Amino acid sequence: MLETKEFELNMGPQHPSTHGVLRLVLHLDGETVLDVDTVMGYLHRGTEKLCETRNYYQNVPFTDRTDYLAAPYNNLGYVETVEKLGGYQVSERALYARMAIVELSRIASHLFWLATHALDIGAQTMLFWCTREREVILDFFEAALGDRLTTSAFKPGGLRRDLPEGWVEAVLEFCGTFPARVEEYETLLNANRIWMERTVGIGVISGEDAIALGLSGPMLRGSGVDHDLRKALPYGGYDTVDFDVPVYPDCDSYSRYLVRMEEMRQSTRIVQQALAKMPEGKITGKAPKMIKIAEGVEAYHVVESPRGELGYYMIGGGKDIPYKCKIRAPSFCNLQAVGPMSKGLLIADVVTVIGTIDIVLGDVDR
Amino acid sequence: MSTTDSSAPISSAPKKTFLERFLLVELLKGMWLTLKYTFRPKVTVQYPLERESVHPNYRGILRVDESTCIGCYLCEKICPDKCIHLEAERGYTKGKGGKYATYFYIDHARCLFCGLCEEVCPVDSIYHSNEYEAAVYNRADAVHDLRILDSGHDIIHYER
Repeated sequence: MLETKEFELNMGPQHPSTHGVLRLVLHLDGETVLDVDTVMGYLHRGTEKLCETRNYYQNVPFTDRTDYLAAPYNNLGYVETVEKLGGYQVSERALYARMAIVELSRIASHLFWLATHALDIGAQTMLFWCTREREVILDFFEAALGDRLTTSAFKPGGLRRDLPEGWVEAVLEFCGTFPARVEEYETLLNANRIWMERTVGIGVISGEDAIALGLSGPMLRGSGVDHDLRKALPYGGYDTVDFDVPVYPDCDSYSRYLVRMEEMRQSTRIVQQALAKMPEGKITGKAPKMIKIAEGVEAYHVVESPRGELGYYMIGGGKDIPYKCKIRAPSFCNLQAVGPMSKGLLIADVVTVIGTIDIVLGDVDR
Repeated sequence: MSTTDSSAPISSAPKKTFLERFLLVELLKGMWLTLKYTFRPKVTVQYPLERESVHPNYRGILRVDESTCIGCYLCEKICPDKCIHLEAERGYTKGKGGKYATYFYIDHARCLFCGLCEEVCPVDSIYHSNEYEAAVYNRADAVHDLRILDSGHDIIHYER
């Protein structure tokens, strides 16, 4: 009798479809995946510890570098936590300007997810088309925030500087044409036979398991759980705008794809409403030049980043530096699902599973 | 938070008839869309040969206006990764009294390009220029002294 043995295969850390430096140890039976171990920490930069040595303004640029595909969202999470700690008021104009900017960053993040996910599965056109639209959004960031990727956009109390002239009109023009672009992507992918073969029924995780694992964001909504922090715990003025939360019950990669496509349309709606509601006035805010939070004052604040629940837990240190800054990273929690999701699949489908989670390794390792 | 019954398989994927499957309708639709794009103008920029201008708000390489600097150390203090180093002296130079910077180094290899130094400078002496081509052959070249910070460094432009 011939003996068969479980085979271990290393995927990564330099594998192109792991979207960074993630190492997966695949336990294989032939080509079927039995189990997956994730090995993380290759991109660990100690952001949380660094935040304990710098003051509240200096920490904003560090939060960019965690989830670098949606940097304004990380800034928003951090800045709103500091505002909660100190009790600072945000001006109406800054509130809506922030909302428009972070929703644009959600669109940019989802576009890049679609581009790389489709490229991993074998649809190359999406990479070119999605980066074309993302480029326009990055140009908006360059004009309004000063940088394209690591924006350091906000500061406690408001924005760094006012929006440049003609910015609002340009964004509204983009929002007018963007839904037609999403339609084009869907023409290519929705009914495409290869896309459906690769995503329908792949990476299944039930709603109960998703909740038990602590998944959030599109991972949860693609499993039929209607949970969006923008609706559940409204922050930053989200209770004043009208939008829908897409939920699909199939629990597979295809339904998560549908969730993200619909979210891009809804984000466009939010941007339009936020810019229409944005009043004239001061944008820079009222926070003091030297923020000092009393010792022991603590706050936890969550925002719905493009990847899911992004939380900041901070404790004041008495002086101008925080005692503790813990980041609850959505990618880190979502990455746990890679094992349960890829059990029984083939090696090629593990690529789909990693893609559908939409991880950013900077966010996983921090 | 509410969960739907996950045991019932409701597929959101589009249903196709036999004829649609057989004639590859969705494939031909996609092909037609990409074919139309072939005849549209290109959106790409051939980078080293043609350059796009950046917005004036863009935070590029740091520059310092030597004549206005008052040596207050605020930029050195606020810098999150301590890439700015300066020494100031009291004296009379270039037609003004008070403090002035005797040496000023910025290590662009460490710089975060966050714009905090630009924000705190009381005389707008330190600022982010619009230059973005900061690649150098060795690390020592990334450290800019006051002469380079004031007048700019030489960018080697690509020529065919």
